Amino acid sequence: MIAIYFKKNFMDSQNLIPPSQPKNWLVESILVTILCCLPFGIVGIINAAQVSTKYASGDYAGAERASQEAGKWTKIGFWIGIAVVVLYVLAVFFFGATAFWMSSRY
Amino acid sequence: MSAGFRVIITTALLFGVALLYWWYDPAASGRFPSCPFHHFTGLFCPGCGSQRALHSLLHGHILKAADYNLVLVLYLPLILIYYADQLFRFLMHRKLVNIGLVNNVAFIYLTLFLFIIFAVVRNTDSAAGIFLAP
Repeated sequence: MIAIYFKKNFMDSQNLIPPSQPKNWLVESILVTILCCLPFGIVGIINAAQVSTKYASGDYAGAERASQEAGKWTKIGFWIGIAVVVLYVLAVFFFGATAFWMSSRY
Repeated sequence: MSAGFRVIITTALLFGVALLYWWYDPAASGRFPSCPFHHFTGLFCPGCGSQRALHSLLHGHILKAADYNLVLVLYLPLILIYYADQLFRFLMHRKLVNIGLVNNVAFIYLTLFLFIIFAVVRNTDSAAGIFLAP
């Protein structure tokens, strides 16, 4: 806390304008969690928390790194979701795997 | 890929998906893929029921949608405002609204906690579990 206090006061004394908070990918991570891939979405939400925690404590470089990490995991989740849908469509098209589709609709 | 191209593709995709889920009922048609996670484990993840919830929402049945997937309905306002803001930023080059909630550390941890609790409780046999299950 003391470190944060001094950091903030130091910034004020130097009249430095802090950079705006980097994108934390929270909403995208929530969408990934709800719509496709739970583990990647949860990792995304944890990274989103990292971005905002680091930014709030004045660690702007750390926030920027966490932002990139959050974006990476969210995008991985998104593309895996797309890949799963494409595989489903291909499986049904080539193998007629309707039994798999019909079995349950969750 | 430029930002503009991404926004256009996303919007087109959203309209396509909305139309698809408005037209077909995932609970009745049997043409929609089931969640692989549920298929192999038999468990409900926080996303289970979101396809049927989406169909119900597009037909205005909010309570039915909440019964299929509560967190989707709870977070829908945030998702819609966020998307509108992103679209506005691209088109007008400025903010539409300042969504402080998205950057609020307490809110993010609350979200994480809510998703984990939701995932656990909807797999239990309790009254709450039966309500939260899709």
